[in-house]
Amino acid sequence: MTDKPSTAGERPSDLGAVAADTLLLDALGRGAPALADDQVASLLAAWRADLDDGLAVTESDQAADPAVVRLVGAERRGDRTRRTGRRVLGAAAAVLVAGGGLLVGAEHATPGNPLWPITRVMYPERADSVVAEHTLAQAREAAADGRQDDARRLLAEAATVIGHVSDEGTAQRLRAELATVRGMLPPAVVPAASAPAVPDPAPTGAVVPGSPGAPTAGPVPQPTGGAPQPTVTSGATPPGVSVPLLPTVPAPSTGLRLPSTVAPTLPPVGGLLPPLP
Amino acid sequence: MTVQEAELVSRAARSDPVATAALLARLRPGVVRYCRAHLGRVGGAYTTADDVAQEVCLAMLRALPRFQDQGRPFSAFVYRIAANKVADAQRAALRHLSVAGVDMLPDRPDSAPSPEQQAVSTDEARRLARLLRQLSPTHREIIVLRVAVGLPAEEVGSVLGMSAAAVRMAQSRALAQLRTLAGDTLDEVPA
Repeated sequence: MTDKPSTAGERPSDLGAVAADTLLLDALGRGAPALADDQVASLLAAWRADLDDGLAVTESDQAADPAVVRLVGAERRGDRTRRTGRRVLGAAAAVLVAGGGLLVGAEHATPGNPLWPITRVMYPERADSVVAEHTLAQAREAAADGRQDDARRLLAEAATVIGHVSDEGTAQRLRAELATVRGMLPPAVVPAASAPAVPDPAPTGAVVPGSPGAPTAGPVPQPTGGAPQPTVTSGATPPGVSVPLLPTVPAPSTGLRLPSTVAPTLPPVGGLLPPLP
Repeated sequence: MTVQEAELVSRAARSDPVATAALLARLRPGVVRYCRAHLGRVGGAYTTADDVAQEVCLAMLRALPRFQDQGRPFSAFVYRIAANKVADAQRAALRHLSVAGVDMLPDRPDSAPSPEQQAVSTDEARRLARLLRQLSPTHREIIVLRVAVGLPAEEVGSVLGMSAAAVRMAQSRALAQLRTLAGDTLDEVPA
């Protein structure tokens, strides 16, 4: 910048600077704030924050992710029938809009997350069981957290949706799961209409993470292995991914030169890094 | 691709709806930011970009059964689709512009920021977006993938068909250029 501004940075010969830039971009890519004294970094951080504006990543996606992932981990799908009833959930009919696009607004159709519309479009024949499964997972979380009202509401919703599931094997499995989750709650104003009173640890094959014999009496069942506050990041890259970047920078040969040139730039970059989880 | 993601991808490719939903939950924020970064706000809102992001997600799901795990990160698959969809959207906008004529100009994406946009988007974010448009397409794409999406250099390299080392060199050049550009426009928006 001092001698030839036009070519400044054209050939970043300083490997330390390249490494510092890599760290900086890694941190910015994770949404970390920038230090005030790096103007472009501040601009990039503000830009990145603006791109997140109103993005539903904070709530529904992250809330759904652990539950869904747990489902995936424990799931055993017995039946893969593809031609079950092609029912469209009531409000979900609004999913498809002219132009082939999707209405994000359809997320209100079900409790949970904005992705269900897409799932419904892609797998209409399975939408009901997916919704039911997700709702049950939420109910299980609510029950494990001691949010009994939420759990009961979710169970009621799940029971309704399960009623729409046309594949009998799937419906049975879901009903068993529903009974299991209901068994986690203390007996209260639960209308025992649709509940087969089988709170025993009947392994449904679906989600029975750690505590099949959930205490039916304990008002606050302790969150066991079920990940009480699962902070599975829903971002594309887990936080640890960027770490292996560093060793690959072939710095050793120039290592002796580094301290003098890099010293001014490295400390602020290090300050960017968020505390590792 | 982490083991967990590989598992999700393979299950989703077999049309497992739960895995599909989980995969989407994981990928969607990055895809949305990618489309927003390229398409910007229209009339102060990211609605258009978000619609394109949904199309990307759908296209990704449709193509998923054809995805073969060849050791390449899944993000390469996703963001090539995204790049195509964004380019389609930009072409469509241009076409619409040429058909509609000058009268429609105020409604186009690249018009001056509306009052709403000024209220919603920060000065800094808009300024960076302007600087970004002055970069070469490759440099711009690298910054978008690295910062907006948050991909590591290795995966950016897979998306763009470059080595990770080449990405690191290029991203330093892009940053240096941004710093130069920002210095040139210092008086425009006093920081």
